[in-house]
Amino acid sequence: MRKSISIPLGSQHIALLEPVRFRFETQNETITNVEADVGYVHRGVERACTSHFEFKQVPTVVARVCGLCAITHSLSYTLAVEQIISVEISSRAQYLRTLMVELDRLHSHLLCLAHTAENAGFEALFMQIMGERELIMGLQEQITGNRVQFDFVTIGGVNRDIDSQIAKTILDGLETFEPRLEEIRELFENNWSLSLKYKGVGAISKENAAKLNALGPLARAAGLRTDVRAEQSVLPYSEIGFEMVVAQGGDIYARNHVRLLEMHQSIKMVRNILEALPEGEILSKVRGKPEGEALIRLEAPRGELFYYVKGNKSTTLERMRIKTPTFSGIPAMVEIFKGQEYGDVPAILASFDPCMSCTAK
Amino acid sequence: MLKAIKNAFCNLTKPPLTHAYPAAPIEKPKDYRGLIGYNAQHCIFCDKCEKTCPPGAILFSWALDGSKTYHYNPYLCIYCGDCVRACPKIGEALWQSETKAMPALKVDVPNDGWDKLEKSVEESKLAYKDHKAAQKKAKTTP
Amino acid sequence: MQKIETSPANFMADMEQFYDVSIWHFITINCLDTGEGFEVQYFFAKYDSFDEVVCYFFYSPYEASIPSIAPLIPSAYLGEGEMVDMFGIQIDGIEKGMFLDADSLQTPLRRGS
Repeated sequence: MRKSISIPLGSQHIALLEPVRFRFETQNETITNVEADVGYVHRGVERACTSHFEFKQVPTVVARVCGLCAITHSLSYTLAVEQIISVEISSRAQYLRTLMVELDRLHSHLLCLAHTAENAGFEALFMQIMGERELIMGLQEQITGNRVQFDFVTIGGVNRDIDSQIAKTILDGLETFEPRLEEIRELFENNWSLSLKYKGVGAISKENAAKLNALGPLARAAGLRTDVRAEQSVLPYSEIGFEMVVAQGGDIYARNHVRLLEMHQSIKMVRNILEALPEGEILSKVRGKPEGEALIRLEAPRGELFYYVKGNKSTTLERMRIKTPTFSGIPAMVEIFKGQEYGDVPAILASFDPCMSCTAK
Repeated sequence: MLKAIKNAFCNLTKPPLTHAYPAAPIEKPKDYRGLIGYNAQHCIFCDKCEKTCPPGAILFSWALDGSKTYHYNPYLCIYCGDCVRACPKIGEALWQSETKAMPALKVDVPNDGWDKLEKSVEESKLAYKDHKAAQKKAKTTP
Repeated sequence: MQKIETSPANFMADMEQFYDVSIWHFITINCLDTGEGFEVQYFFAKYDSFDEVVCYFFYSPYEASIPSIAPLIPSAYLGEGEMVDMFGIQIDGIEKGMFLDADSLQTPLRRGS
């Protein structure tokens, strides 16, 4: 009779960026059962935003839930509150917000690809991709004044404007970046340690992805057509030419493929935004207090982000509910682990791109 | 594969990608978000900047004669500029400069010093309210 | 957003009739403290259509225990665990301790805590 050994992947591990704990039951290095424990970084953001901070200060608080998708959090909250307070947003402000969201998607996908390459043993590529990422963060610093936490979105519009010189810098930066993206994509498709090693590892079928409500690049790599950018009408995605990217197979190779193609789409969309940027004001005056309930869904780099806001005519909100993409993806991840070898676990975890600060707010 | 080998050889002669800070200075972009500047002569003491600041880095302590003193914590500030946008006298009483904050030293007592200041500001507000209430009572009772 | 009211007794039957894996996508669970009890909300979105979100909700008193939706939707156990920790609501089969430890402030989102 085979004995089953239980191995912990503890909350501190050399392949993890943030603390999460798994407990694997294995038989001869093949995983049979998984227990997951999240919630190590719980900071109580929902309670702080309904007791200590006023509703105008919340965009800066909520942006600090996650470091990688900071603009998406503060933009979702702002769009939700603007539905229950009477204010008109100019279309120039909406276009500028979409520009920042797409640049954010670029640097977040670059981080995930660098982490995947490092887990395959290809550290030189990790350093190169991080060097490319600095270019994108330099562009974001030109627009908003900071590299990581932007404080760019506020209720009524955006804080800073771009002029023709900054627009030219962005276009020049993308011209230098695009051929390097092609080189990285060739490496991911043809290099032995990045393509052959990853085919067939960590696969999820389309039926399981639908049953467990998977989202983001994880679901699109398995063949499921789900993308919030095709299902929402607040931001002008249909005007700047958005196309969904779907792959087959659901393994690590397919997920990397989806992320690389999405980066090409983002570069194309940024160029279209800069060409079609309308004139107008960037900040409108806000009067009154929020009353009623509203919800919004947006596409963060990892999946679907959902905000529910309820106000009762006072300066502090009554209830705010955040649902982050990694929180919905953890049941799918637990299902992927069953049947894999124990030695592949860090690579599967890195390809899944978890953001634990988002999960345990 | 050949391209990767060629890249590896070229990397031997290329300069490093990292910036030689602090030997070489960092280029600041245009409109750098720096420290907040204040001029007491133009200030009308409306308290709007104190109410808008998200981390609470601007505090006004109240004296018994009705005048207020401005305190600013550059280590708590997130340089978002909300206080400047809320001020009725932008550019005269409150503005955002382009100087970068220096790192805090132990002699500045950044954490404990600010905690003590927060407590003394609360106490000064309560003392002013009690003083005003006592004055009103002295006026109404003959 | 379309809000549909149901009740704790009919809730599982309504869900089984409504939920179809190929059409609807389950988003999350939310809970509100109304002062007299809880309002529990379940959000669903439709694949491939613009801005179509449906919310099923019901009211339940503080001490009542409500059934878990995990047999129908397997990925809901995380959201239910978070509500149990934050509000102290009782759900069949879900235990406390996912987010908060035993020595921290308990049920922080209830009124008056």
